[in-house]
Amino acid sequence: MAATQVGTGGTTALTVAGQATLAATYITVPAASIIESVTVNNGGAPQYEDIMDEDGAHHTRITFEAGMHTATVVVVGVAFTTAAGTLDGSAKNYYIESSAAETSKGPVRTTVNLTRIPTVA
Amino acid sequence: MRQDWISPWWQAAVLPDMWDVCGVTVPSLSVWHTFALENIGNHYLCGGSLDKDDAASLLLIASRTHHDGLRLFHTTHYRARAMKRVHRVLNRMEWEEVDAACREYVDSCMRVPSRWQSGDGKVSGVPYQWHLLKALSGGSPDQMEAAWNTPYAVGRCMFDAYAESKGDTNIMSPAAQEMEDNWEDYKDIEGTMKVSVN
Repeated sequence: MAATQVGTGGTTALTVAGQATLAATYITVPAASIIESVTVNNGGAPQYEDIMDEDGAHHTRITFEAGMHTATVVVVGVAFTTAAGTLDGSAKNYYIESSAAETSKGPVRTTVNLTRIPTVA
Repeated sequence: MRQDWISPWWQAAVLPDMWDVCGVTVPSLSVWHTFALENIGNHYLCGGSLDKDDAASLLLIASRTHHDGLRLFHTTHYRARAMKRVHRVLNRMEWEEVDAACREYVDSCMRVPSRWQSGDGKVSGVPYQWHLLKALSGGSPDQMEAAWNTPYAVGRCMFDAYAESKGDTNIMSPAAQEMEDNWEDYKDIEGTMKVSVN
C-alpha cells in the first residue's frame, strides 16, 4: 500500500502529469490520516513514489499518465469538513463536487470528489 | 502501523483448533456456538453481569458440535448432568481466574473485521449466523453441519471476502482497522497535511 501515509505532518503530493504548468491545488487533511485510495476518471495505473524533502517531511507522490477531469480521494483518520465548492489551494482549477463521511468506533472515512472547472481556451 | 498489532484477518487464519479454558477442552467458537449462546442469553455474548453459570453454559455449549449439542436442548436430564460436571471443574478455581480465561476465549474467537457505518444501511431481519450458514454451505443441505461448525471468525472473514468481491465497499482495510483499534494513539495528533492535485 504505497500510497498509505500515517504522518505527523508534511505534504502528500498527488501529481498529475500533463497538468504541471498549473498552480498547485490541494485539500488539507488532518496529519494522522491514511490516504486510502486516489482514483481518476481516465483510469490507468498511477505510479507511487515515497519521497522525503530536504526538511525531512514525508511525501507520497502519485503520478498519472494523463490529465484528468475528476478525482476521488478517500482519506481515513480524524473527521474533517470539506464543504462542496470550496478548495483551499492557490489555484481554483478544481473544486469539491461532494464529500461524504462514514464513521466507525474511532476514525472517519471521508470520500472527496474533485472536479476540474471547465475553461475556454 | 504498530508492530505488535495483529489484524483480525490474520487472527482468524491462525485460530487454534482446540483451547484449554479452565481445564475444559473446547474448539474455537463456531457459528453454531455463537447462535446458541446468543439465544440462551449468555452474558459473555449478550452483555450483563457475569457469574459462574455464564461460564459453565459457555463451556458446555462450546464443548459440543452442532449435532452433539442438540441433545443439550432436547434432553433436560442430560443438560443438567453435563452442567454439574462443568461446575465441578470450575469450582476448583477462583471466579476471577475463570472469568479472565472465558473473556480471553470469547474475545479471541469473536474478533472480526470492522465495517464503515454510512448511516444508510438497512435493518437485517435475519440473524447474522443464518447469513453465514447460507454463505458457507452454499445452500446445500449436505454442507450445513460443516457450516454450523465453522469457526465464527473464519465464517465472518469468508462472508466479508465474498461481500467485497460482490461490490461491498464498507469493509475496513487492515490499515484503517489498526487505526480504529489503536485510536487513542491517533485521535489527538495535531497538524495537517496537503493532498495536492497539480
